[in-house]
Order: sequence, then C-alpha cells, then structure tokens
Amino acid sequence: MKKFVKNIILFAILPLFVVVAFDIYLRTNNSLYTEKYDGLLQQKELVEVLILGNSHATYAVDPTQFSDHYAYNLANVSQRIYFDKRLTQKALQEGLPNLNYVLISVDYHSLASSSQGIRNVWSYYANGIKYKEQNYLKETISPLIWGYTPKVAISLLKKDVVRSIKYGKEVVSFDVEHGVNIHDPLTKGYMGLEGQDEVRFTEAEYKSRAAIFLEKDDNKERAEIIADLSEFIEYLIDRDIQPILFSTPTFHEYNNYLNQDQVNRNISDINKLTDFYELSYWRFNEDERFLKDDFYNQDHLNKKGAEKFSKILNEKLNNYSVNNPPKP
Amino acid sequence: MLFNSLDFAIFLPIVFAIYWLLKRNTQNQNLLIVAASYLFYGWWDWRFLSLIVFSTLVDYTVGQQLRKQTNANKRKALLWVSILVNLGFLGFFKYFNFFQENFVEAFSFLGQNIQANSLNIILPVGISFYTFQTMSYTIDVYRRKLEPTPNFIAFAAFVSFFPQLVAGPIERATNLLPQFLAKRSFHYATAVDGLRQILWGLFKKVVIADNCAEFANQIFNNSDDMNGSTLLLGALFFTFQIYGDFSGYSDIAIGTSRLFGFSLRRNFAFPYFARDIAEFWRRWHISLSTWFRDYLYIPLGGSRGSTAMKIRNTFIIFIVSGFWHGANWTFIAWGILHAFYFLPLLLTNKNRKNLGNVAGGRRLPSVRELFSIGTTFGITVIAWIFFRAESISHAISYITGMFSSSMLQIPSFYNMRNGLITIILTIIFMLVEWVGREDEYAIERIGLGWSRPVRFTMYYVIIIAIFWFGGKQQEFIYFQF
Repeated sequence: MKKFVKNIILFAILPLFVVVAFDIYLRTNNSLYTEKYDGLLQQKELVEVLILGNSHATYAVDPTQFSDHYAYNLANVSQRIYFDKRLTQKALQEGLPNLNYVLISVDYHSLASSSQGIRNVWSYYANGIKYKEQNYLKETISPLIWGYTPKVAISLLKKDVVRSIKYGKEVVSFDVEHGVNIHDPLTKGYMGLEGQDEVRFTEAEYKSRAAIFLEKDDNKERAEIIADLSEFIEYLIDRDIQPILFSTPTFHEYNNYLNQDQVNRNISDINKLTDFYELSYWRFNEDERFLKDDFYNQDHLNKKGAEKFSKILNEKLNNYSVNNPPKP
Repeated sequence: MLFNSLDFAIFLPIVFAIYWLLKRNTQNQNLLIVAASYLFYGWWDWRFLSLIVFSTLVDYTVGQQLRKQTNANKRKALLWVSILVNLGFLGFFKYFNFFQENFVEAFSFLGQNIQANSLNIILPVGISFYTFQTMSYTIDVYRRKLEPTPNFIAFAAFVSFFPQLVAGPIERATNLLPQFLAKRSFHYATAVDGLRQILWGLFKKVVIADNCAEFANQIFNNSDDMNGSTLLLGALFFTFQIYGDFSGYSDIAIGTSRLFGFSLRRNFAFPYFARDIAEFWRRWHISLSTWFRDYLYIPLGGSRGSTAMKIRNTFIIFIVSGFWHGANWTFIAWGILHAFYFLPLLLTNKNRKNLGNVAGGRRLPSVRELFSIGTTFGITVIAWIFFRAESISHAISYITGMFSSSMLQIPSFYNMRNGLITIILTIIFMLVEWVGREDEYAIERIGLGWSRPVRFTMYYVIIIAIFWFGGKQQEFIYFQF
C-alpha cells in the first residue's frame, strides 16, 4: 500500500503543479466580461443609455454613433436576459445616476433559454453573478478544470502568448472572438466584427444555425424567462428608467430557416409585454436596408453594418426621447 | 453519482482509504461498502434506495428459506416470490406506461375507446441491473448451485456494490458473493491495473462517447433534414457512442472493483471486431447475454430440439433482451433484427465458428477476416438505428433516407470541424483497441515494460486527452435501462 500511495503522489506532482500554475493565470486573466463591466463603472456618471443582449447586440450596436445620448454597450457573447437583468441591477447598485434608457435585445432565442452554457461561469468569475442555484464550488477550486476547461484555458494562454510576442501592448489584453480586430480598443463597450465570414452564408449553415436555437415544444423555461424579464422591466420603471425592447437585423436568407412558430411565439410574447407595460419594441430582423455586405455572418452585423444600424437606432432613440423625455 | 464527476473523484479516494484501514475486519469492510453504495445510489435519488433495501431483504429471506425447505413445491413457490417481487418492481417502474398505452391503442384499433391516464413514473436508475443480479442469487440457490449466505451484510454488499450497481456488469452470485465472504488483501499490481482500466474507461466515455453523442443527437434529432451520407455518419456516431459509453462504464466499474480487491466479470471483449453476429453477442454486454443464456435460453431448451424450437427460443431471447433495454417497440425491433441476423448461423451450425480472437498472433487481419468484420459491423450499425430512433417509423425513415441517392453527397451538419476531430479520435481509439484486442481491455499491457517516466507520460497524454477533447458531460446511456 505504501508503494501505491508513494507512486500516486509521485504521479500527481506534475499535473498538480500545472493545474496550480494555470489556475493562477486564469484567476488573474482579463476577460471581455471584466473589461466591459469595469469600463461601465468608469463611465458610470456619464452613461444615459445602456445596451443589453447577446452577441447580436454586442457586435451590432456601436455606442459612438449615438449623437444625443451617451450610450454604453454592456451586451456580451451568449449573454441571456437572466444575466442582462442581474448585471444591470448590480451596476445600478454601484451607481448609474444618469441612466435613462435601457435597450434590451430580444431575438429569436432570447426567450428560449436562460443559460449561456459554459459562459455562465465566465460571467461568474468576472462579475460574481451566479446562474440560478449553482454554487460554483468546484469552479472556484479550479478554474482550469471546472471553469474554463483545459481546452479553453490552453487556447487562452496560447493566444495571450502569441499576442504579447507579436504586438506587445498595442492590442487588447483580453480574449476576443474570431473576426474582432484586436488592435481596436474597447470603446464604450464596443468592438466590432471585421469583414465577412463567407463560409457562413450557405444553406447548410443557415439550417444548422437555426436548428441550434430551435426551442423545444415542451420548453418550460419560457414562462420563467418572461417572468424574469417582466420583473426586470418593472425594476427599471420603478427607477424611472425607460426600457425599450429591440432586435437586431439578421440576413434575409437565414431568416427563411428560422422556425416560424418560434418566431411568431416570440412576437406574440413580446407584444404582450409591450402592451402591458406600454413599451416600444423595435424589430429590425427583416429590415431590408441591411444587405449581405453589412453582415459578418448570417446573424451578426459587421462593423459596416453596425455603423449603419447604430445610426438608425440613434435616430429612433432621439425621436423616442422627444416624446418620452428622461424622467427627472 | 456519475463516475465522470467531481463528486465521484472525491468519494472514491475517501472510501478507498477507509476501506483499507479496515482491512483486518472483513465484516466492517462489507458494512462500509453497503454504506458507501447506498450513499452512491442515494446521491441520485435517496427515495429509491428503499427498492434496493426491499429487494435485498426479500432475496436474503427467500435464500434462507430455500436452505431449510426440502419440499419441491414450496421451494418453487419461494423462487416465484423472489421473481415476482423483482420483476414486479421492474414491470411497474419500467413497463407500466408502455403496456397501458399499447392496451389502449389495441382496444381503440378494435373500436373500443378506453380512457386511461399514464402515471408519471420515474425509472429508478439501475433497476434492470440489480434486480437481475439478485434474481440470479435466488435462482442459483434454488438450483442448489449456490449455498445461501447467512451473512446479511455480505449479501447486502453483493446486491448494492457501488461500482456495478447502476449499470453492471450484472454479477452472478456464484462469482461475486464468495468474494464478500473472503478476506481481501491489497495487491499493488491489481490496484495499478484497476487504475489503468479506470483511465481507459474514462477516455472511452468522456472522449469517444460524449463527443460522438453530440453529433449523433444532432443528426438523429434532425434526421428529416439530413442527407444520406450525414445519416450514415449519424448512425456511426451512435454506434461508437453506445460502445464508448457502456464499455467505458464497465471498465470503470471493473477497475474500481479491483481497487477494493474484487474481480468482476468481463462485460465487453472488443465486439466491433466480431466476425459474425454470434461472436458479436459473445463479446457485447457479456454479463447480460450470458444471464439470458443461463436463466432463459437454456431452460427453454436452448439450441436443442426441433428447428421450430430453435427459432422460437432464438426469437424469445432476442426479443426479451431488446425489451430489457426499454419499454419501446424500437428495442423490440432491434432484438428481432438481431434474431434474424443470428438464426442463419444457428440453423447452419455456424454460430460457434469464431470462438478465438480475430487475427490471433498476427498484426493485421486477413482479407476474409476484414470482410467478415466489416459485414458484421455494418449490420450492427443498421440495428443500432432502431435502438436509437424515437419510433419504428423514425428508424425506417432514417434508413430510407440513408440509402438514398444523397448518400453520395458530402455530409453536412453543424460544427463539422469538431465532427472531424471526433472521427479522427475514434479511428485512433479503434486502432488502440485493435492492438490490445487479445487482452482484457485495450491498454492492459501497453507500456508495462516501459520506464516509469515514459509510462507516466502515456498516462498524462490520456489524461490531457480526456480534459482536452472531453465532450459535453452526458449521463451514461445505460442508466436509463
């Protein structure tokens, strides 16, 4: 038995060292989540408009295009309404004295699921927001094994090393998705996608992409998500902040592959909310002003499209604010 | 508690340490196993522990009564008590809704509309496994093949032994129970071998099965929209998913048992290298197929008697085997299909043609062997489609879609890059399996003669692969059976 225990310890030394080293690296690593949230807090006195949502809004809304209001994009990749709500509540507790409008992105799958998958825990590391009943014990013990997972952690390290060797401090210090220019600074929470990922514009890709977000008929979460969103809307209204629902443009060929029942169910549920709370819902999904050139892939705008969309959104908000001025 | 979870990673070393601290007292070790096994099972749902306890009490009592009883009729009655209790549990939890729905449908077909509400019954994890294990004890005692044990703790440990409680191998009392009654001693080589088998089992489950599952689910769930070649790929993904999942579980179970000084039956012997379907069944889920052979097929007359009897017995055993997997016509169809595969071999007395290992002593198979392996594998894949499909009509439309002209098109599904990585990993995995096909498990002897640093490197590579390529955690398929 002694030999067995001794050999087990001997065997474990190297992996243990690697795990500890990686965990230290990951605990001190910047992420888009921390950068976005910290950026918001740094500008908290100025922010009048907050943009929320998942990657669609992350890449579609460029706050620098907003002329009459100081806007900040707090949307993030895969970020669900569940996290939009809690992030905003947290930020409001830390003070956003001039926040007047919150633009909440609700699209094809926003009401279908509240989990952002593996990114739930990333959000937790950055902002301390827990997903439902998760206690994150093991994720706290080792971010390498149970948080980021070794695959992601090694990829983060690899990108980090390559970035610093190649560019030093000229580029952003956190990981971004493929398509984002790392030379761009994060401005008002925004970094856009450059060019186009041509391979995403095929029938098979449209089908597959649409299938991922297809909601199951027996989804019991929808009611829960709508209730959560309602609570969020009430929370904002109580604080004299005006919520506005919106959805970003998606490529017209891709739209044909979305499940129409789900699309209609979304519209119906959103309309119920907007009727009840007397809110605006700006739906741009099928907006014909957006052409293939404006898209990075089937459902994300590129920088060009984002500029166009943000200007439209800005105009719409300016008009809206004339009739619905900020409450004193 | 899942084998591939943090809970188990903490649970196992604790139980292991306490267990060997108690090495001087076998009874205390057994008591610890019972407590640990109940905790292991209760982690999933403690309410269903009562079923295991009740089943244990019934079979222990029946065993004790069978020892005293000499009257043949009374002995038979006692045996039936055990069978009815065990199959009663199984029938209620697993098959109640199936029979009810089919009765309602059958009557409505005859013009009689019957109103019946389905019950919201949760299927207790592992019920099909432990009920069969306890029944084997009673039947063997009844047949006087086994002396009933008066040691209740040892018997409870035999029924609930946590490594194989929820998904087998289904142990025979004649093999496992005496091990609980004997003194166990720690052997370094056995424990290390156990750890190696656990490692390999985890690789099969986490790398092969969980990755294949992602694509098998995607393709089977959207089969109407997929072309033939994608459907073929989906069927192959499922074929390797179920093998990696179930044989991986068995490896972890057997390896874990070895850490505690127990030797469990082999459950898989490289079935996808089988040269005919009879050999496949000697290599796939061995503990279940031999259970059915010993307690059902042979009592029915086996392969003796008239041709009609042979055909009847073959269909019975395969249909029951299919039905054991779940209350769905798809499993029955899977069983029937295998019966059709098996019958020609049985009727021409070729069912015991391939008893040894394929390409024994050689590196590569002959062309003839390769053809036989390919054919057997191919028909097995077709049968798995029935096993995985939601319904018979789904299976048929899947197969029809697969064998359409679109089979020549390029496969297309979401995340093809990862799909390709999964295919490469599966090919590497099968190559390792081929190399180790004459051993108990693929890496049993690989690296044993290497120096420690090289051997450790091999383990590190497997561990890194598990974390690096590990798919999304999925529950073991056989938990639902």
